[in-house]
Amino acid sequence: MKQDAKTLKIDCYVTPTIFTECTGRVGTLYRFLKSTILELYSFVLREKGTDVYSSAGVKLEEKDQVLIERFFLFAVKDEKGPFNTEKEQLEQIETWIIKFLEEQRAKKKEVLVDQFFVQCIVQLNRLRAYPKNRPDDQSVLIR
Amino acid sequence: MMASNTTLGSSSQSVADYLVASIKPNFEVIRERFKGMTLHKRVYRLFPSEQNTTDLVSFIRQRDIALIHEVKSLPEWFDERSYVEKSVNQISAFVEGDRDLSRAMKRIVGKAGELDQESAIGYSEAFEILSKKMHATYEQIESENAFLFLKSKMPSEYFDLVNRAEVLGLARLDVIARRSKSLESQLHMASPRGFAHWSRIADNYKSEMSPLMAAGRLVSESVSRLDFYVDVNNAANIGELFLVKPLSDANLDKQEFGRYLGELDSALTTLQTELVWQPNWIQEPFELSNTTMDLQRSLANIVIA
Repeated sequence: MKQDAKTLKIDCYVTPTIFTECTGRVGTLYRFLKSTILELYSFVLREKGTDVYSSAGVKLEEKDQVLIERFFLFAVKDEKGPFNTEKEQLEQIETWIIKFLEEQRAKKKEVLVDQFFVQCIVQLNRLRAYPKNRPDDQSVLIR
Repeated sequence: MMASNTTLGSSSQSVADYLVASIKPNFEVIRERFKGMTLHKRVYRLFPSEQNTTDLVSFIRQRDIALIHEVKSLPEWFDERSYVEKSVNQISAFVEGDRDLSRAMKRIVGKAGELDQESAIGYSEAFEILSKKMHATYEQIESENAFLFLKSKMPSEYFDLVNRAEVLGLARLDVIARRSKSLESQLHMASPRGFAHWSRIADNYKSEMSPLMAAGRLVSESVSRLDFYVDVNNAANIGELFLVKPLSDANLDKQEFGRYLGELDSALTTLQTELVWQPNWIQEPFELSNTTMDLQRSLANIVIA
């Protein structure tokens, strides 16, 4: 909607109830994404024979992509997502993680596990926007 | 554990709080010697002259002591005096380490006899420098927060609130920096003899910015209290304070911790409400990688499905 408003140069409005509902859903999804990344981080370290306290300098190699795929294979089977679309969400996260890893690897010679996951969390935190809307607005202008 | 730069963000906010607390527009009568005569000159000051001001060190010391006295559960090794000295030294090193900021600060407070326009320039410069410093160090701060999120055993809510405080704190500094720039040019345009006009410009500034400044101060205090409480209860001695280290809520009193989280949440809501009314709040989106933008689009479909 934001993109359409920008491209078509028109003002788009939604009711405050829809806005509140969407903001709540974004928050829930955001927490789900972060907890999945946290679990994946622990899983990768465990599989590499280390833990969060001694992971400094541990590299994330190309072959470790299998670990990520294995985590999501089990996660998709077991995990309960927040909107009954858990499979879809986890697939999106998996695709993102793999692509993001490729992106990071193209930039740097070696990618460290800690460094990579810190960047994942930073990117997710940046996704979280703080809406610039007035609480007493009758309808919310999407910019 | 590694040497910390987490204090970079809070140091900028602390200096900003100090500047905001020090601005007290008022008339002052100063005496000047001219060809053997003593002249009384009426000047409009943004900052009171020396005898009425609190210096930065005293401001930080008073704030820290008040904060320590508010926190109930402190470890046995904790020593108030050593903590306050350490905190004061960090802020002093932060200001003195930046020549431009240090110069701007000296132009502001306690310069009796100096033209008020000088202090307006200094004030505006100081906020511009603080805002630039916060932007320059923001990436480092957010990486440290993400690192702590991965390494700690703390509720996710804690990190969400800390991130939100950083983002809104940055926005608050930007807004004040922009508005102070316009204050400086308005005072520059006004005739130095037109006291009424000067007074109106400064009073408008003060009344426009006061709610935002008060809300920002509340957030700074809440964040400082929460940070202090978590830091002090996750350190084994004074040497471990102000360092980036894995945190755990096992060492915290659940009720007290919950209260500080709640206070910060409510202070952030107030600050956000004040910010949305500010025409100078320009939300610049943070840089996202191409793959993250793809993820954003896919997830948006899930949210609205």
